[in-house]
Amino acid sequence: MSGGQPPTRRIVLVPGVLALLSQYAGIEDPVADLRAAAREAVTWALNGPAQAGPALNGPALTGPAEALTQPGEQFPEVAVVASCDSARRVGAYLVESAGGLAVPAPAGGVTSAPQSRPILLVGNGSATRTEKAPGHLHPQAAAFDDRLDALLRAADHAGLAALDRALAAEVWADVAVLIEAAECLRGAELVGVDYADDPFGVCYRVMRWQA
Amino acid sequence: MTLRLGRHSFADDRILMMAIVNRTPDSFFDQGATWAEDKAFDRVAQVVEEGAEIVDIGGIKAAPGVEIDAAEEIRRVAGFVGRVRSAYPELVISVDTWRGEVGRVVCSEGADVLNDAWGGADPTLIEAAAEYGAGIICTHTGGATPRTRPYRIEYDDVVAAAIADTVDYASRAVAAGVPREGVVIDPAHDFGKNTFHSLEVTRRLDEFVATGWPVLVSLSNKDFVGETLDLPVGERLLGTLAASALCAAAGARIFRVHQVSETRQVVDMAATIAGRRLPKRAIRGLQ
Repeated sequence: MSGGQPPTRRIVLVPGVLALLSQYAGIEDPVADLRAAAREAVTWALNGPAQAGPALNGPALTGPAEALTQPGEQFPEVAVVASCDSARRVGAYLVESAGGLAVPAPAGGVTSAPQSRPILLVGNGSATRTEKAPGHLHPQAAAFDDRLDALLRAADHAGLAALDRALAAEVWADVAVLIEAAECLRGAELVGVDYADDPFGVCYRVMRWQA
Repeated sequence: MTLRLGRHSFADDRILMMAIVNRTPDSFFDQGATWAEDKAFDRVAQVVEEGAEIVDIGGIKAAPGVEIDAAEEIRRVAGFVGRVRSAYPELVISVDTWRGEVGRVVCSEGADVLNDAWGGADPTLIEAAAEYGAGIICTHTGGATPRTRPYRIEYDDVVAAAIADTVDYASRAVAAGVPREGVVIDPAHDFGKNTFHSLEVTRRLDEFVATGWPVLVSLSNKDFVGETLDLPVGERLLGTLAASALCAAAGARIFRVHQVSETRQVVDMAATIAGRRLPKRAIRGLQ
């Protein structure tokens, strides 16, 4: 950052996979690749431009089970945007595991947060991609995910905002935050796709943008 | 407590399978199946493949029978221990013996543990373990003479008696120089006990665990299982596994077994239910 330009915002998308939480750890990690990708992306978000002014350290999102921070400690804040409590906990866990502090999106919308504060979107595509998928095979799942993938890669905020909520519900896609927080991708550029797979019949993406 | 059995250490959450390997022609379960050395060696290969961390090599059957002196016991097990040591450097080798004389020889051949199934009948066994830095299994037999069956034995409280004896034995072992991390207690089902005693020991195994000493259980196909279910040797696996599950839930660390794979599954399941082990790989409902 130089010359008085506003800081760039780093934005990351991870899926709300509960298996990422330490409370569900097994001897073997069934999502090791996803975890590594998510960790790398979240760490990248935390290492962005310094946050303007003092670290805010507002109320953390995590409960006692996942809280990794101590009162009074200062950490870079990440706004975690998720559609439900479990997804929020996944996001918060990833942020805090990477040394950050997860805070909720401001009441005025995610884009009203300080420009330097990274945003972690927690959501994913359909969960009906195969016969063994949680929601069983849905004939429109693949097409829905293809469309979603294209919109995300293009940072097409308008397209995301116009996603078919009814179809999303039918294919068990958790895209509410992508619809509601699409504005944060306005003018963003895709930095990278860290993970793109559907190992359990669920469409996962770990992606990074800079806006 | 972290276990250290000879040169081998195991973290607190490890539950270990000790596979029985008999160098006898007449043991109750296998009836001489591994009497020939090559057969015994094949058995070691099999149990290693099945995931046993420990083999327990014995040269004398526990029950009364033809007298086997120390020289013959050494002839049966010592060379075999050396052969297994060479072939499996990562394997913990235990030798089931009560004799100090035998203990010294097998330790010199590479044994890591002396399994004193007869509860300190020969006090020099501790000295052998201490001399070689080997672990020792401290069992309770109620003072029974080696290779005798229990006869009209009663206790005011069999668990209290077994805890007192095994903890005392363990303390003596440490005082004699046996590494504390290598001392294990074993209530010794069937040894100096009737079936009701063994059942009570199983039911109250958590009291042994609460002593802080690592606990070994030797349940495999024993008479208390057979009498409980009225089943002969050879048909006692399910009963053995049920008892194993309870002992695993109570916190036993080492299971001395004939059937490694089956016991491992049951013990891992019970320990996981009890919250002492993580599931191997959990994704159901967590995708």
